[in-house]
Amino acid sequence: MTGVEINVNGRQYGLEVEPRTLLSDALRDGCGLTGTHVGCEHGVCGACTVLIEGRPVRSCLMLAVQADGQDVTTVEGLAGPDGLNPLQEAFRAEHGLQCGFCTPGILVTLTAHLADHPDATEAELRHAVSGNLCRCTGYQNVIAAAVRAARSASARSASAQSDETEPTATGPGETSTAPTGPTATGPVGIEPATTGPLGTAITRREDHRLLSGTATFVDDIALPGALHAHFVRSPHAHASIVTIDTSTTRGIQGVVGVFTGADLAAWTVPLRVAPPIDGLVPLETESLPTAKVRFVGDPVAVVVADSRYTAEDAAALVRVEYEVLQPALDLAASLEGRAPLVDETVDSNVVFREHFSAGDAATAFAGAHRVVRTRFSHQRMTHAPMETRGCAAVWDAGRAELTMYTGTQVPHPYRTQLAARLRLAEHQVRVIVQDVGGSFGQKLIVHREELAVAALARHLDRPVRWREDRIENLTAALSAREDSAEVETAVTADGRILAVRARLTSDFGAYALFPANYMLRVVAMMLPNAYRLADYEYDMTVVLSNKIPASPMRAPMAICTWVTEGTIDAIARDLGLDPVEVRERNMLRESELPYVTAVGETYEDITPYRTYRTALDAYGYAEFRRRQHADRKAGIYRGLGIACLVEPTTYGSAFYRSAGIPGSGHESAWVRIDPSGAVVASVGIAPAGQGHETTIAQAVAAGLGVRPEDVAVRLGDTEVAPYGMGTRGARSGTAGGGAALLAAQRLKDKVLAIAREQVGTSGAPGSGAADGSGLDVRDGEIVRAKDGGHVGTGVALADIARTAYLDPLSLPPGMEPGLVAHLAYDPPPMTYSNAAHLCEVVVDPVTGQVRIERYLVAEDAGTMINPKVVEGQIHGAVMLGTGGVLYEGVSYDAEGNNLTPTFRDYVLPSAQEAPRIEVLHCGTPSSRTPGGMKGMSEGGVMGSIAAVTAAINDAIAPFGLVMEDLPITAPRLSDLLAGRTAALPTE
Amino acid sequence: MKPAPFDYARPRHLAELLGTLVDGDVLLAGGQSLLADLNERKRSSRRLVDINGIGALQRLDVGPDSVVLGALTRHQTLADSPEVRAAVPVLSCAAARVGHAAVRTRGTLGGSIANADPAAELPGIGVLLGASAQLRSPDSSRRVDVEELLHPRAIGEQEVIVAIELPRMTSRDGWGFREVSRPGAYAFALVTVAATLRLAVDGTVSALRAAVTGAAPAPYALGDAAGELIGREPDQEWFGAVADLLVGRADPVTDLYASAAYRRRLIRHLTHEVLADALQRAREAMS
Repeated sequence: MTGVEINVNGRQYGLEVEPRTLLSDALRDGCGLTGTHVGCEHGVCGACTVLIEGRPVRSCLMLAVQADGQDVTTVEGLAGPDGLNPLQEAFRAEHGLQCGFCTPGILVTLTAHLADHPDATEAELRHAVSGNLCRCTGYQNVIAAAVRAARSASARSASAQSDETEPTATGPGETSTAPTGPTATGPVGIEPATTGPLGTAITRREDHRLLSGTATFVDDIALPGALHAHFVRSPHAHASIVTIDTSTTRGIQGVVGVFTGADLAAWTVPLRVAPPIDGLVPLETESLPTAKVRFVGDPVAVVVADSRYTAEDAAALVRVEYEVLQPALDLAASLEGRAPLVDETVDSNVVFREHFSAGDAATAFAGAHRVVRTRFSHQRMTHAPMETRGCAAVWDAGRAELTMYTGTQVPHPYRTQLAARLRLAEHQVRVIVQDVGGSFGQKLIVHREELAVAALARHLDRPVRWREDRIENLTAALSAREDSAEVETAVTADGRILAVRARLTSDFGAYALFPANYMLRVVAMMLPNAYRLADYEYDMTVVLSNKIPASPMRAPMAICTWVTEGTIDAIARDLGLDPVEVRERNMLRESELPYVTAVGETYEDITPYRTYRTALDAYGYAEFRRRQHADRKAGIYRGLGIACLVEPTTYGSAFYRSAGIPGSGHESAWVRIDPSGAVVASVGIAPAGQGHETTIAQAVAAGLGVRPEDVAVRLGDTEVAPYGMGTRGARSGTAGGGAALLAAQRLKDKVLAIAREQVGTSGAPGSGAADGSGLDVRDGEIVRAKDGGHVGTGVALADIARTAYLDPLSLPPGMEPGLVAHLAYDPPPMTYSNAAHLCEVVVDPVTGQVRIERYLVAEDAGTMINPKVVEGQIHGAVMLGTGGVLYEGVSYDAEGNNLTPTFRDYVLPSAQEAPRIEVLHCGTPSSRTPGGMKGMSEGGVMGSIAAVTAAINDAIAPFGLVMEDLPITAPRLSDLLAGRTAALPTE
Repeated sequence: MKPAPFDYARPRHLAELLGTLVDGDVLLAGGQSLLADLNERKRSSRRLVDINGIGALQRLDVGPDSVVLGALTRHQTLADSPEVRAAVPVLSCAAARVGHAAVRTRGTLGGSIANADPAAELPGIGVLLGASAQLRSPDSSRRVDVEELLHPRAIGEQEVIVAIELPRMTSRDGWGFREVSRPGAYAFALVTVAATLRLAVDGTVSALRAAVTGAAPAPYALGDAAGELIGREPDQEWFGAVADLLVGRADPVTDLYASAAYRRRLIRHLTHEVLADALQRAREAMS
């Protein structure tokens, strides 16, 4: 150990470190400054950026000993004693962060850049932060915040030079209350309520802690004496485990033990996924594999030691003898039965098959003018949240209770599952979710590693923690979207769709951690999209392989939009029609609603034609075609992609029952007014960056008649939150917000019942209206209707609360003391929203690079709780889908080795690649949900996969090429275009 | 992941460094590639010898004919220093394209050359300009062309790059540097092309240098092949002839990121752009 003296944020720290201790770890563990986050440890993501002597540095690429005697500034040192600095305030005002895990690195990077370049342009700022990855925001509002900060910085420096006073117009501390963002051109449909708590773009309450480095992510939780787990993982795609020799780790100081699948088998129950779904093969997954490994990264043993460093040292010494087997990597070989068996307990790698038929496709095909054939293939992706998976388990032996700190999206279902697999009663397990650095579907289940850590905490009677590193996250967490579709479409001569036949296949990876049809069935369900289609057949096949297990990932149905919209474009090409015309002929109009689709889903309160026309009109479609034509003559290949989509959200219990999936779609909330009048609420959802503390406060405020800032919101702790189904499937706003709104309304009923007594007996003005019909709650005060407005009664919520708790004899006869409402809300089977995306690109045929010139979304998400949050969700979703089209992909070689284990190889888009996104809102309320809310967080992914790909195909049309496989990387596109000659446009 | 254990030494003087080096030591300069490798346990070392405290490795001397840059000169200094920008602008331009600000804060010229990534920007500039390196070991001292250092095991076990010497560019030298990088936050160069050229009073080319990275096991220059291009009018045909020569010397690989054919096409594409940039600067210098 070596002693170092580091001055951090003006304070001297004396630390004892090993030479190998990374500066990032020294700051977090040694100084206790956990605002600096670790996102990759290979210097790519930028989350750990700090300033050394004022210059930005990756603290994961510097040793703590190297910082001896140096001045370090971390995010905790940016704000003055008065609170956030102007840069941080700009991020709050512009909603420049969501989960906030990457934010400290971005703030530090921009601080250094703006110090040198106070007049930085948007392009320069975009470049400056392009070494900082963000998975949530699509960078849109990061850039907006940076520009805002630069404006204020340059204004300050100008005013300092001219000796003027501080500017106030865009100064620090300003909060945005505008209903739309800077790039939005305003609501197109109904005006969102800008005066009430719903529909107002208030700034997020989460942001202060996320911006100041005081948030609490799993790895930030201080647990003195906690042990560190590290997993030994398979280097083979497919191999029998012959022996595991852990004796090599004995005697290493700090190593507590090495445990294997045999240990876990004794302590835990395996995962069995066997819902009664036709065509689905029941499958079981061991807690850790005992007989064979099934993909590179499969965990085979776990080392527990007193530090992460020691645990990794010992893991490197564990000797696992494998007998290597041929891997199953080729889907076609599995379909033909030629591939090795991934799971010997079943007789085929095909674990789900379904044939579906509605109407009479055969007759329609026989009478068709033409059959259009299309193919679509999406590569394997992974969620890559900026905060990897992780957990910390604390076993209280005296009480025989386990506390599990983790980042799950679904605390209560997680607890149910964890307790069952540990053979504990549910009340013996408490799950606590604090700040979560993104999830996108990855933190939806009890992962095998998390189960092992919980079991070890109990077995060892010591706190045990685990933080997955980035390589593990990219190679062994979960993956998604290796889906393909082959489609035949029967059409008339004028482009009307008569019938569709689709063959859908999906590579499910090594284990069934979800039912095998879980994702692909929603692809099939949503394939009809916004079009009239009665005669529809599909065949669905899902196979196991020796790859990372598959899971839902933000928009599990995502490829459906690409399939349908790509087919529409193909129809237009085949028939020589304009793609806009083909959509006109087939798209459902609002007058045709409610419409029951070929798969039995009911569309109502949706406006696909309206969002489509809104987008086209705002864009200037005809003008674009003229520009495209002129540019082609000059050798500039410009293209426009159109994607219309209907997004399924907020799956209700009735949907799950019809799908054969056990479980519920309900959500629960409680709202309580304490004796002082303080309002607190809780819901079963658990955000990973979506700002639910803010939006739930808005929903409660709307229901109860108080200001959002007066509502405290507690999420993520199963001892506090009511049993709800958590955050998934674009349900948190409608199911969670809906439950909160309804619970608050129920509580308001009780408040008003008390108020009727109170106002009636207090002699307050207007006490004659003792029937209470005119009473309401506004901004925490009891008011009475008068002359079309309201007048105060002089009675505050706090007065009612005091009575309810402390003077129960004054309550109406029979009324229970206290002020709390608990409510469970089960939303409709499905709440659909809709959108249209237009994307314009320019393709450089030499470099193959695709530049997105313009991106426009017209969205109908019904009543929005917070438009700024909604837009942030759209930005992030569009970037996620675009990343899949252009850059990202989990790659394997012929032996099943993972070729993309780091952020060097698994390419997340940076700010340099991010398009500017314009959002238009068409707020058609749902008639079936509280407040008219609809879900919306996945449609951006659906739309962007389709729109970006279509734009590229439109741009390269003169080359006679259609891209059917993703990703369309620049080298790949260039290789395909090389040697082709573009047809010159006709006059 | 975290690095495996190692010992650590931080000598304060060159003599102390040379006195302490033993076989197997790994020098730690900027650490922007080394630490990532150590973190991933792709590399390990019994001992890291941190050279960041050695003042003699940080010199920056601009002379009338040459520029001597200590091995520890940071990319940020190369990009921002007015002296470097004036003396070897093509180096400043290339340095500004290395990684991101945080990488440039730490990354060093000597480290980049010792690391010898085939696609990296700065070794390519060393090859372009015919830079040489001063190397020291406990018992010897030598000067060698940077181009020769960029091959495996070209630097001895106990050898240290002390400084890089580059010929100073003149105001008559037009220059260009362009690259195509991989997308995303890593943004490492796929292929870079750099060129300098000088025009005679009649507008023909009187001197030409060009170099390519990312298209062969090591960066390569046009070298003597430039001879046949001298004295000619720098028209599109001439651009094509330069590109032909550069592409002809390429020996690219196909890997996860790009095909060999793509890398070849990038050389041609970038060569045209770089020559146009260089020509414009040369003409501006003449007028």
